[in-house]
Amino acid sequence: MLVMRRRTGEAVLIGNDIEIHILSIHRSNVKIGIKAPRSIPVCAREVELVRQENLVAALSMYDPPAFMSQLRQVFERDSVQDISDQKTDMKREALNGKDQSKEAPCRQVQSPR
Amino acid sequence: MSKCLTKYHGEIEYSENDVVQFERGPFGFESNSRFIMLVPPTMTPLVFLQSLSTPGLCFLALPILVVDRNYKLTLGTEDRRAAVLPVERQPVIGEDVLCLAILTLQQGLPTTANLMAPVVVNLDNRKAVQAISSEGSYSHRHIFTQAAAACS
Repeated sequence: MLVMRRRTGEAVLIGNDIEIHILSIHRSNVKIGIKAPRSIPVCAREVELVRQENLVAALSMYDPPAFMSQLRQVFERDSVQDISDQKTDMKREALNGKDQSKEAPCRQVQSPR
Repeated sequence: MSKCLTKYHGEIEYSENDVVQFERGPFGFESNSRFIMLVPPTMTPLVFLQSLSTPGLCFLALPILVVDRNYKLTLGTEDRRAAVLPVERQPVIGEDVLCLAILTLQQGLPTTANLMAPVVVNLDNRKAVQAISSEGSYSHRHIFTQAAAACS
């Protein structure tokens, strides 16, 4: 990695077509301006990481009974509470909210075949 | 009631009230803006986030507090706007929003949960956003279970 120090107002040139400008620095936050041709995609690194992760997640093909038994093992390992209580509590809180009038938009279905 | 074909649950019926609407779909799937959340009772607390426009697209997810009971949700202003949430404060999981972590299952590898970019659903109006956390320390591959994923 090429490392250099820049101050506010200074810039870095990459190739003939890309410019990185340091616009402002406030505490630990740097505002960066990027000039690049439209053909070059520019995004925060996390966006690309998440995009890739979503793609892999979308390809997941799971085995229902085996996965459920893994989930149960995780709950058993993590908690001394009764599993069904914990799952019910968390499900109720996470899905329906503490205010019962706000129903989470979930559809009950049969387990996958 | 409308019908849709799903990845794991055959053909199902749903109503407009079930639909979770993204302003822009999840990263990498921006054109998929309408999903429903399927919750088989025997598979609690697993949530299937099924795309309405792409039958083969269905994410497995868990409520984020199930993955990390101390999870702290920090949404940027743009994400709060996209989910039509108040801009002056952070939403509260279970009161303002439902917060899901998408799971990744791969053959021979531990199952991971994306804590960096949860799917946040506004409980009032079902608007949703996949929000990249402003809190820097969450992983997009938080190991949920060490055992190799149960994949077919």
